[in-house]
Amino acid sequence: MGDRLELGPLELKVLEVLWERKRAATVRGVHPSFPQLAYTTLMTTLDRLYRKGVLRRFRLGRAFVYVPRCSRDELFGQMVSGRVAELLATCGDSTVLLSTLVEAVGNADAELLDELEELVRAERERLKWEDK
Amino acid sequence: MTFDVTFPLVLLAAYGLFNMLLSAAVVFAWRAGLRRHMTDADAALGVRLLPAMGSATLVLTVVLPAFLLYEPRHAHDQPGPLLVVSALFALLVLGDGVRRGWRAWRATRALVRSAQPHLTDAAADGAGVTVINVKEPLVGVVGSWKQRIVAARCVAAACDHEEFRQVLAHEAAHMDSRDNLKLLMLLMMPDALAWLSTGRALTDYWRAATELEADERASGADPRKRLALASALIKVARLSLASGLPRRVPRKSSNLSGVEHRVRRLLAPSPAIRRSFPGRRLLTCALLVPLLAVPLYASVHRLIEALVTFGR
Repeated sequence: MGDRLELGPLELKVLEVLWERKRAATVRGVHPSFPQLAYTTLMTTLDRLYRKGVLRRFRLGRAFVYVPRCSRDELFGQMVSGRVAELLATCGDSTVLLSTLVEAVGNADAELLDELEELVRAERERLKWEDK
Repeated sequence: MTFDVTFPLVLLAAYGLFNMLLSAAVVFAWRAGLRRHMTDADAALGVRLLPAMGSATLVLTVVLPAFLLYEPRHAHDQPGPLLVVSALFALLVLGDGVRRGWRAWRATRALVRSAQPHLTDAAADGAGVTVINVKEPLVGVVGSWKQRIVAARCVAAACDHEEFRQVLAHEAAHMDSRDNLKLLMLLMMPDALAWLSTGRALTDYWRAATELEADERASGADPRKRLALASALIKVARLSLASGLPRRVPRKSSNLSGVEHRVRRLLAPSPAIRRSFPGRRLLTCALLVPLLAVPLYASVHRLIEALVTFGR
């Protein structure tokens, strides 16, 4: 897999589904998770992921079976690390990038963040009022 | 088989057996609800390290001296299948640990080699942070020995001064507790847990707990600092959403690290981190094992003999 791996939103979604399944899947097997997509679109996406080296594939009868080459964490590390390599060079260290705040806060959605922001705003107001 | 061959085989087999037993004990305890009794990162770390460290301690302080003291140098033993299988298992476990370490080393080397193209700004400000121009909202600590805080320019721009200070304080807390080094240890542990979901759950739990502890150490009981960190977390999460990075799906075992939990926790009055894990007591016990085992060396040697000949 190359160091400069770039994945589109659909590719990431397809990968998420494959990671969740934890087993190999055909295009037909993945398609129910993307009912809005044409079968051929999904087939092209899986083929593109295979060509990028993210997926492995095997022939099963007339169809291909796809399986992720690495875990979510490994891929995440690769994608981010390609861009922060210079930092390791400046550190003069020889260990991997191990933790990031992004990873830690990654499991949120926009609506939840709106709700949390509301709480922060309320707390800010409360502290201001206390200061007065 | 001569002493020179039996000796390493026995050590390996003992390591393999202890490793299997301790890994099974950890899996059993975890499934029986050990998680509910663990309240800090050190507890998770201790439990995760137990199979490998415990096995190594037992082998080096009990099996090794017992074997050296009681095994006749001229003895010729024919090894039984249990000894061989256990030794092979130990080799597999140790080899896989080395492989994971090697992979980490290679990944780092690849990073360092592909260093230059994205380096646009490596200026360190007063807080000792390297700011970089990348589209991802990266904030983190790199390196496990020589550590450094890195932050994407977009994060620095999105946060106000106090928020960014709290983000840096959070990362500094990770540095102080050497969390990267501990994580590297966890990744390289030569044990059967590394292949089991319980091992991954423990590592996830540990990571989640370190985030909470870093939050607490960064902001303490000051409500303004806590508010600033909570606000920064939301901003980083928003940037993360916009950047299209692959996101972790929260697992049931580690959902305490989610942004919601962390923000709500920061907005509540500071909870004291309860350190219920008796780490020092356990360490004392571990140190006492070799002493207590001295009178048992003869019995231990008989067990070793049984292991060597079992199934023959």
